[in-house]
Amino acid sequence: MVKRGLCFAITYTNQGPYEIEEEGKYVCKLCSLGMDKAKNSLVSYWQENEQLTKYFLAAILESLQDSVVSIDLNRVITTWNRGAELLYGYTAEEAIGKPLTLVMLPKDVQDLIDKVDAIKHEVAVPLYESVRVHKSGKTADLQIGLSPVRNSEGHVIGVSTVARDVTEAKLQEQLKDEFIAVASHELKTPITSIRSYAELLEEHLKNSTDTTAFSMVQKLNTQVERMIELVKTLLDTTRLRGGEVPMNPESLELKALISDITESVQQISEKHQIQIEADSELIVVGDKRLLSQAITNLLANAVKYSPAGGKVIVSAKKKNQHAEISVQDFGVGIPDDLTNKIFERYFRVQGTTRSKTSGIGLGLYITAQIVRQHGSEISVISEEGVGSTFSFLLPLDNWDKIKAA
Amino acid sequence: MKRLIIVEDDADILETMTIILRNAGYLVTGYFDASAILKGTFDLPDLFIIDKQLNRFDNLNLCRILKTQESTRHVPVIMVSAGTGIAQLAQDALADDALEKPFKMAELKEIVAKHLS
Repeated sequence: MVKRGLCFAITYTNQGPYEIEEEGKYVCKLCSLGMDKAKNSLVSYWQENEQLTKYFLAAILESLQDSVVSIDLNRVITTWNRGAELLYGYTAEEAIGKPLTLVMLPKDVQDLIDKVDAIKHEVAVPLYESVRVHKSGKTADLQIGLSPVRNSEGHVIGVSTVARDVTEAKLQEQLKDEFIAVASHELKTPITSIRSYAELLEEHLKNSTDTTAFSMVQKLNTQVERMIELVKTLLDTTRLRGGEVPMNPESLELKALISDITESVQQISEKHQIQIEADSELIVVGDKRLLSQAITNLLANAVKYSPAGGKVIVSAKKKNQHAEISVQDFGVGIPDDLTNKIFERYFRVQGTTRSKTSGIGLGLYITAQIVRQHGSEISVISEEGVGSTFSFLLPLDNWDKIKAA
Repeated sequence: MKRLIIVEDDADILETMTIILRNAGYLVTGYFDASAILKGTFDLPDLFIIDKQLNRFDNLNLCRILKTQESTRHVPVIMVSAGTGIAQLAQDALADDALEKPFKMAELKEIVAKHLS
């Protein structure tokens, strides 16, 4: 059991070992303590007294603000730290021995069963968000990480759950979204008259001999269009997050859809050759505007991040019962450690080529959200200096017909 | 010559809409607020273009009135708004069509022509 109030003094001796004292008395030496990445579990290496390892770890767990709870494979609570007491309102004595469902909404139980099962079968579970119920009945939004607890033979015997209350953080996100929504909405009014005046002016100067003025007003119009796209993008991100964008699903023939999109993106750059490699007769069900936006974003990125020009390939290929849509460029690529981050909101890869390109880090976020709304996930394969391939699958609506043919 | 009434409280937007539609050959009367429409002191047009939000007054109600009262129900109403959900809101308020700001000159002319042909 967890011993309350356990306190160690640690003397840091250059690179270790660390000398541990308890209540002023020398206890032992600690060489290192940390996460064993290979085993994905907490391990520590002591020179002395193994029992103290447990005390030491327990003391760390006790001092954490985050809730750390471990459960066995039947989801029965086996340990419960101070953070858990604060987060859920139950003491360790009240919680240990009870099922973790004590602090969960009934609708989330199956999800936990599935996740514990995954961990049992050595499948890693990414960080996820869920709702937990406090003893008082109040609910909180939590970010939860699950990892296996192993016995000395390395077999998974339970799961440790580390949870952090993100209610406040989510509220802040929501306020930020509301601000962006209001600000971009307010921008639309002045943009409406700017756009109209600029268009009227362009029309007025079209037949004039003042070609300089005409060319200037054309540039003005191009910039106004960019600004409108930016405002729309900002609004879309807040609406996609809030799940407010309604889907209008319809049957779409991918080759035709891709050809239309390619035509408009090709206009951005003369240096790039966008090549279409699409199987015919691939029909999917999706929202035309949203899917077009997703593919346009991928193509625009492919152009943007291959500044030297060259080939960009957009393809739609049959892959079993799905159509695989992908966009490949031969540009700057993405550093290995950042491929997971690029779909996050406002994330932009730093670097010389990249910092020269404009953008606010929303294109891929929106694309990923749109793909997710269509029940799929976007993936990326990339190598720095070689290029990137983004792809996602959509179920074929005419699979029966294709199969029969 | 077809007659249009535009109700829009932003002076610059009202001006540009008026120029665009006059250039397209319509006779345009502009109002900054809905009072004349509510009082009925206006000449019946062939089409109304109404901004959804006028100084905190929600003109969806104005639209509903125009589309239900005997004297104006046959006149098409186009609701204009910077809000993204305007298509559905306009439909619910019985409007004939909706146009989201910022619109292109061509889009404005197109939508007006569609309801006056």
